[in-house]
Amino acid sequence: MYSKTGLSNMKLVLNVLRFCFICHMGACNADNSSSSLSVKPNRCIALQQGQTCYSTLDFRWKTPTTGEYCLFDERQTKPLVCWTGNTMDSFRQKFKSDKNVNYEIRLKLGDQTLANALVKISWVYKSNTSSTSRWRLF
Amino acid sequence: VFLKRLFLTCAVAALFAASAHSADIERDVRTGRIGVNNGNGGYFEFGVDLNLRAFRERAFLNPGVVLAGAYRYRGLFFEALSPSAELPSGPFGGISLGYTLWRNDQWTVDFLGVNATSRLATGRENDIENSPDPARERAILERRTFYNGAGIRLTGYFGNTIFQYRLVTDTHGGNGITSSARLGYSRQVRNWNFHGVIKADFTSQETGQFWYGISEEEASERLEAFDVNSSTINYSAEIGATYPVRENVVYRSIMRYTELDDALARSPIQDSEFIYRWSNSISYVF
Repeated sequence: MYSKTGLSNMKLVLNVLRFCFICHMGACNADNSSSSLSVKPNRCIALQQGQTCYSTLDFRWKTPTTGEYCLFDERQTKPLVCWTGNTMDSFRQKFKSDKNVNYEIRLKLGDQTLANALVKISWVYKSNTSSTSRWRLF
Repeated sequence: VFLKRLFLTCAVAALFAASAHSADIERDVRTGRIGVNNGNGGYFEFGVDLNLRAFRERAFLNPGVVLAGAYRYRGLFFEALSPSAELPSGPFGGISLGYTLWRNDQWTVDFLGVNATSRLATGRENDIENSPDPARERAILERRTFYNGAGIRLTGYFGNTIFQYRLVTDTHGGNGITSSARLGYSRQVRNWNFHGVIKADFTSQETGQFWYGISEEEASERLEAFDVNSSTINYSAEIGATYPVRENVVYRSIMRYTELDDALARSPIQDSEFIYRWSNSISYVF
């Protein structure tokens, strides 16, 4: 018969093994607090509301040293770029949108979002000024 | 002559570009991005500009102030055009108050109740310093040219192309009628917005005399008496670009060429039969 102490030691060993296995799969890096994502500029400005805004975005991020990660544009299912651990910490991407766009760092295996950054679209002339503000012939 | 040809070539090229991209225009119409303004609201712009005005024998580089805006409420509208965007030869800018009488998805018919305009820019303003009779010449060059009109404005929106016809009569002093037909085109290229406008402006003989004529009583040694003896049609072309620098700041560059009818260009207060104007401004948009 096993003693109570032996049983709890066994549970401890199993938990350690489970942790190591999960780490190997990359999921142990799913700690949001150790990941960050920033984008510059985080605001894109077009002249007239409804117009498509164009920019070039510079992403910078921090991710744990192990695990595989990808940067996603919320409008696309395919990742913009993927990397392992901290082998990569920046990326440049052309931007074109008429709506706010959220970018996310996710685990390559799994949908868990570790960090995100929003690019907001702004317009100088809002829609209620539509044809008067765009430019007029007078 | 070279500058004149270059400018006209650019303006014509801008308008040909409109027809070359007609598919884009249709798509924009369907998405509702372009068309008649149905909403209430408006904007106001305040800024500074540096403008170059070139005549046949002289050019002026001047700083200026940009004041422009528009507000619309239930069909009533107010529009103010920046001095820097005003046609240098006269009455086509200013402040407008009006009411939209009728509209559909493509056309609007507006009643213009007030259409005030400011002083002419003739290219002779700086001559006063060297004048043998400065007081008399200043009285002519800086005289009131306020044109308080009432009339009708018809505007048609065709994708990125706008057509506008306007007929205004002076209700303040009975100084004749003006009328204009204008065709404009705008196009977004990345975050830049480019536009081109060509115009034909009709000015009645009375209005021409009001602005460019010199009576015997007014005449001086250099600015002799002059009668505008016919109505005139003046042509102009404009190209420009606007860039949103920040959420409330825009940069705008506008080049305009105006060709005056001989009946106005021969006036002693007018320096030449053509005027170039190039304005660069930075404005804050409220």
